[in-house]
Amino acid sequence: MSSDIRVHTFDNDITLVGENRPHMSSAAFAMLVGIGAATDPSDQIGAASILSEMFNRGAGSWNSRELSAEFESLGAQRNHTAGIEVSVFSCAGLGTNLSPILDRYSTVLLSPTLDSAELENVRQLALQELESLEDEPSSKVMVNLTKAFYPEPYGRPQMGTVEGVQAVSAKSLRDYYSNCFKPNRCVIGVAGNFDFDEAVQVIGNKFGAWNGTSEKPPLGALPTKPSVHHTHRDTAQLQIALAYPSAQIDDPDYYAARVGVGILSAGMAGRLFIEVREKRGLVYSVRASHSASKGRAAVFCYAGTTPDNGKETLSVVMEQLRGLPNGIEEEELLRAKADIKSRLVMQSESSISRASQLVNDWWSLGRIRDIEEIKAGIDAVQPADIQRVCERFPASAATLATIGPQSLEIPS
Amino acid sequence: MSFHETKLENGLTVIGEHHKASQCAAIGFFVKTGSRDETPEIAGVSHFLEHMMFKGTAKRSALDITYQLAAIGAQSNAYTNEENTVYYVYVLPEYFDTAFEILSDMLRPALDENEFNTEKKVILEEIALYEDRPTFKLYEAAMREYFYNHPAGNSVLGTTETVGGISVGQMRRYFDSRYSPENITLSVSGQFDWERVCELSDIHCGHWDRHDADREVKPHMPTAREKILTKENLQMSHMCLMGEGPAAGDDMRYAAYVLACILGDSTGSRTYWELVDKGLAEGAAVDSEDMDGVGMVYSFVSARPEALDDVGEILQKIMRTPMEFSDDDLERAKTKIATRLVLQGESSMRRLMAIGVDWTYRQQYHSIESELKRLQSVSRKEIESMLAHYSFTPTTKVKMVPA
Repeated sequence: MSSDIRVHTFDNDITLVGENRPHMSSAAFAMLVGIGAATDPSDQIGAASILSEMFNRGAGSWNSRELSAEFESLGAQRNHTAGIEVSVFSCAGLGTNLSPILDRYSTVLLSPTLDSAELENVRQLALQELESLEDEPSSKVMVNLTKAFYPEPYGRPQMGTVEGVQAVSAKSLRDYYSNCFKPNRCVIGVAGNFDFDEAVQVIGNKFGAWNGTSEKPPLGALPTKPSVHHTHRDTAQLQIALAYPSAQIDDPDYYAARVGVGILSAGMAGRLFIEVREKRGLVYSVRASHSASKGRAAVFCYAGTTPDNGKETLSVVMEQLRGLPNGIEEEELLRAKADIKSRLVMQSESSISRASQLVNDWWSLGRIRDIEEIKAGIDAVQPADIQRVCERFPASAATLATIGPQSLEIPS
Repeated sequence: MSFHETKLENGLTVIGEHHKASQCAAIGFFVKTGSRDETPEIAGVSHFLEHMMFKGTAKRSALDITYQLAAIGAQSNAYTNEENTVYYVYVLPEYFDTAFEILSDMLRPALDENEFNTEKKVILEEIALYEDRPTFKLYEAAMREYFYNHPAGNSVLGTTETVGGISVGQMRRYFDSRYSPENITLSVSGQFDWERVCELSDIHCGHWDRHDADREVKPHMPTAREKILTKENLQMSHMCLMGEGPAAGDDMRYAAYVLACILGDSTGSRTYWELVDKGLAEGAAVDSEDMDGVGMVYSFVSARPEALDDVGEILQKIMRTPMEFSDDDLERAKTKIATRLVLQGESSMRRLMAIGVDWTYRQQYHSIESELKRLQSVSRKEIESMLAHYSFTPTTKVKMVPA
C-alpha cells in the first residue's frame, strides 16, 4: 500500500500529520485535543462532552444556524466525539474544499461562543441521552463495567453523569475551555486528496496565532482490583460484561495481546463465537475486543443471553478466556492475523477514519505507524508470545458487570 | 468507475462496478425475498434461513465455511429485511477467487437438522435481545400498523412462537421456492477482473436450477391507525409516524429523498432546528423508504414521557406542512446528499450495497455521476408535484410510553 505521510510542527507546538491519497476525491480533517471525561472537573463530569457539542452552537460572528449553514453549503460532514482522555473533532468533504473547511474549523475551535442559552439546550439533550441509556441495557452494562474496572477518573462515563451535567455552567465551561484547550494538547491530522504544503500554509495562517500552554493530562492508570457489579432489571436478556488488564499500545507485547484477542474473537471464527454461539446456541451476540491507549489497556468481553442460560454462558466464556494460551494451532493463529490485517486495510479506505487514526497514533506514540509496520508486528507474533501475555495479564483477574433479572459470579 | 453486466443461462444476473484505485473487493448475493414473502405460520423463516446459509453445504461444514473465510481475512455477513436477503463478503483482491467460491457454495445450503436446532436457539436469543430495545419494538409495531393487512409490514424476526414452530422441511420448501437464480443478483464492486467474474459465475453458479419465484405485489391503501405500546420502567418515550411515499420504481423517489433530508436529516433539518437543537427531543428524523410496489415516509421522535405529546404535535405539524422551506434549505440539502454520494464512492462495500439494491428493485444501474445529476435537478416544483401524489401526511401514529 503506497502512503505518503508527512509531519509538520508549527511554532506554537501544534503538530500536523498528513497522508496524501491522490486517488480519492475527498479529504478529511481531524483535530484531537487532550480533553475528555477524565479531565473534567470532578463535580462536572460530562463537561467535555457538552463542550464538544457546544462547538456546533455558534462561533465567531455565526450563531448556531449560520454555523451549520457554513458547513452544509460546503457539503462538509462533521463529527465531534468526546472520549475518556481525548476529544476528536473531524470533518470530511471534497478535497477541493479542504482549505475553506480548515478556515471554518479554526473559527469553530478557537472562537466558540459558548452561549448560556445554547448551553441550556445542550444540557437538556445530554440529560435525555443519559436517561435513554437506562433503556439500553447492552450499552449501560459497558458503562457500569468501565466504572467498576478503572479507578477514578478513568472509569467515568464519556457522556457524563446526571449530577455533573446539571452542574456545568457557562462560566465553568469557559474556564475549562480556556485552561485546557491549548495548542500543546492538540494534534491535527489530514487524510485524502489534498496538497500538504497548502494545508501547512492554511493551518499556519489560521491556527498559528493560537498560543498558550496547558499542563498535559496524566496518563491512564492501572485498573482496580477485580470486582463484581450487578444491576437488577426485569429484562428479556441478561447482559454480561467482563474486563481484565492487557498490554498497552507502547508495550512490546501489544501485538501479541491483539492477536490473542483475535483468536478469541476474530469475527465468526473466534473461539468465543464458535464455542458459545455456534456449538451451544447460548447467545446471539458474544465478543471480545482489545482496547489500548496511552497509559491503559484492557480486554473487554460481552455476551447477552436469556437468564436461564446465564450461568452456563459465563462459565463457557471464562473457560475460553482462561484457556486462550492452550493449544494455539498454527491455522487459528493465521486466521486471527489475517482478520486483523484485512480490517486494517478496509478501515483505512475512508478519509475521515484515516485522519482519526493519524491523530490517535500521534497522540499515543508520538509517531505514525504505517500499515506495513503494523502488519509486520502482527505477523511476528508466535504462540509463545500469546502465552506470555496471558501470564502477565490473566483473565482470572476479570471484573464482572451484569444487568438483568439475576446476578452471576465468576466461576473459579 | 466502469460498469459491467451479464446474465447466466439459468437467469442469474451478474453486475460489477470496477474502481481502479480500490484496494479491496466486495461480493454480494442479493436475493429478492424477505418477511413479506412469508405466510403467517412460518413468520421469521427468511431471517432464520439467512443464518442457516452459514451452517454448511454439501461439501463444507459450518466450521469449514467460517474457518476458510477467516483464513483469507474476509469480512462476511448478511442481513434480512422485509423484502431482501443479502449475503456479502469484503476481501483483499488477492483472495477474490477463493471468497467468490465460498460465498457461491453457501448459497446452496445443506440445511442440516442438527445445525437447524442449534441455530434456532440463537434466533430465539436474537428475538430476546430486541425485546429489550424499545425503539425496535416501536418500529416493528409501526410497520405492522401502517401496512395493516399487507405483507410489507410483516415482522422480520417473527416471534418466539412462530420461529419455535418452524420445521426444517418448511425451511427447505421456502428455500426452494425463493432462491431461484432468476430471483438473485450477484454483484461485485471494487478491485476485480470482470472476465474472471464471468468465468467464476458460470463455474460456481451456472448449475443452479431455475424455477418460478415471483412475488405478488399488491397495492396498499393505508388507513388511519393509532396504537400505544407500553413498557415497564421506560425512561424515554418515542413516537413514530408513517405516511405514503413513492415506491422503488417511481422516479418521484428522488424528490422524496431530498424533501426527507430537508425535513428530517440528523443535522440542519426542520426536525433538527425545531426539536433537537432546542433540547426538546433527544432525537428526531424523517426518512423516505421506497419499497417494492409500495412506499412510505417515516418520521420519529424521542423525548421525555411528559413532553412526548407536545413534541409529537410539532413533528406532525412539520409533516403536514412539508413545503415550508427556503430555496437555501433546498440547495443545502442537495449539497449534503451530493457529498454523501461522493464519500460512498470511496468504499467498495457501500457501493456494493447501493448497486445491488438498485438492481434488485429496478434492474438498472446508476453511476454516482448520474445519481448526482438527477438529485441536483430536483426543484421546488418537482417536490410540489411529488406531494400531489404522496402527501407525506402521516396516517399511522404509534407511541411507546412507560407502563
